[in-house]
Amino acid sequence: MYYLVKRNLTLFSRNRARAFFSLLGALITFALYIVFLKQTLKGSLPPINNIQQILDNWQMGGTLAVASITTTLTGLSAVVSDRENNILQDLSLTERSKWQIRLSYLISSVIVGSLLQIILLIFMLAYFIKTDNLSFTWSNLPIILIIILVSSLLGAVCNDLLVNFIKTFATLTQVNLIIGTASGFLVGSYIPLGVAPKAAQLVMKLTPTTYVASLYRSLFVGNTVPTNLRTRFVKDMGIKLEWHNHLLTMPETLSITFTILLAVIIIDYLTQKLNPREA
Amino acid sequence: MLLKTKDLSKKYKNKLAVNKVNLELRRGSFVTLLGTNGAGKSTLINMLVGLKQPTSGEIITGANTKIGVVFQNSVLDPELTVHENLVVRAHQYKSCLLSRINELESQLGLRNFVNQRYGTLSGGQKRRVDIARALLNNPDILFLDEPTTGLDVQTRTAIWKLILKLQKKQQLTILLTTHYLEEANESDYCYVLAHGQIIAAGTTQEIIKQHAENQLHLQTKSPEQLITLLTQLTVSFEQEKCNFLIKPATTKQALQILEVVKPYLAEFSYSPGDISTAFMNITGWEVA
Repeated sequence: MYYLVKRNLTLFSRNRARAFFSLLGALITFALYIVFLKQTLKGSLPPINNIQQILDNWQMGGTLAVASITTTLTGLSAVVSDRENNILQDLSLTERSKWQIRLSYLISSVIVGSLLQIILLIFMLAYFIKTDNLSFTWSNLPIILIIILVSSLLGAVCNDLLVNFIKTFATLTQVNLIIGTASGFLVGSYIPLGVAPKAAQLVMKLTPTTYVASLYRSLFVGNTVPTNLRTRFVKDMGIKLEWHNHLLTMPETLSITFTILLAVIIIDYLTQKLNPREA
Repeated sequence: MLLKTKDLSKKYKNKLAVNKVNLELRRGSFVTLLGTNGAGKSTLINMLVGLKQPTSGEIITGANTKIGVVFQNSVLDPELTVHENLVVRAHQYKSCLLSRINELESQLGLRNFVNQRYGTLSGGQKRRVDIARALLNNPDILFLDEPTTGLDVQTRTAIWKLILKLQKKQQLTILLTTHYLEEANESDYCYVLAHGQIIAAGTTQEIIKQHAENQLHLQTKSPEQLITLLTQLTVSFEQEKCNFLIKPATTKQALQILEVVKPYLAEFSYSPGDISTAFMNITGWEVA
């Protein structure tokens, strides 16, 4: 299976344009923030000393969450093109089982998602450190790396479920576009979760990756918000998510993320098991 | 017996793609499956290799029969080199040694372009790599689904020689589907498939004999004399003014007729029955 994973990664790396476009959704979020979102948000919030840095950190969380969806979907695009080009048929005639083959795509996708998120993080940090003197808490790095991995896994499994229903590469390209555009809204990167209409908030909270965004934001923003404004701020900005008038703590959000992950894995497994289309 | 089917059928919704097919593959034999477009060849092959489940009937194979498949379209990665492609596929078999790749690369003449990306190869080079891929696991049966479609005559001939060499040298059993009928001439046995059913089977010679007649065309300036001679020879013929059509059983008989009618001949032509005529006679002359 190592060689299948290696194959998928080689194919991905030899198609640079594909790698770039998979980051496009995240990069657009980032660009919009720099161009006007930052100013708009600053104007709508009460005056806080280090608001510049707080918003930068908040923004990074959302952008990484968006990337966890879009990059893993591109990482999985090989499933669709391989199915379309009968490569899956060829592989199924080997001694590898259907599950080993599918798992190889999933693993490649998680690796692609994690690496691209790390590259994106370095890029954003470099930018914000230079422009806004942002300070980065290095002690957070191990847990950030873990969340990068978990978010890539969540993204990959959700997208794996999705690609079961996509037959052609042409359709995948369209779906990619829609997801790239929608994900920024869904994780509350364009409009902060707390100020969105109630119905939109519900949709956002039903998006698995919103919990990942919340984890990132909690880690990046931490306790830098002044105490008197903190509760309101973390709720409005989607740093902590509210369930039945209760603000979820980080361990709670983490448990919910893992529960969603487990549930999607089971649904994905059952979907593939019941799908007679693939040998 | 390496592979045998018993009333193999496949139904898609309300279309019967393959209808009660019985065929046999003997070890070391070279079998051709002929059929028009849409006759059910690909469905049948897909069932034989295990990619599709039959609706009814069964496929009986010898224990531990290994198969290799050359698909109609390329199933290798254009962005990887020839060697990389073979390495990836080779590792999907437990028993496949890397030395096998080297062996196949020289056997199939891939040496000059092993480090070239598969996508940049010519059609003939690609096909050779496809065949190498199919042979990685040392298969007992090699299935070739229209392997020479879209290739020029030179390349087709080269691929063809290669396949025959492999069959003879390694006692490989081959099942080939094709619509280049002359390719069937090389095979030991031939099945003709139409509308999902096998409607003729046998060696190509048998099929030609049964379904295609030899034709002798004669042109004369004195039809009356010719009629007299042919009647004396008790040969049946069709006449249209000065043109005569005779269907001699053998080439020898054709020569005998020519010898006798020689003085009155203006022109003649002789065409022995061939597989194309036989195929058209069997499957019908209409376009599906």
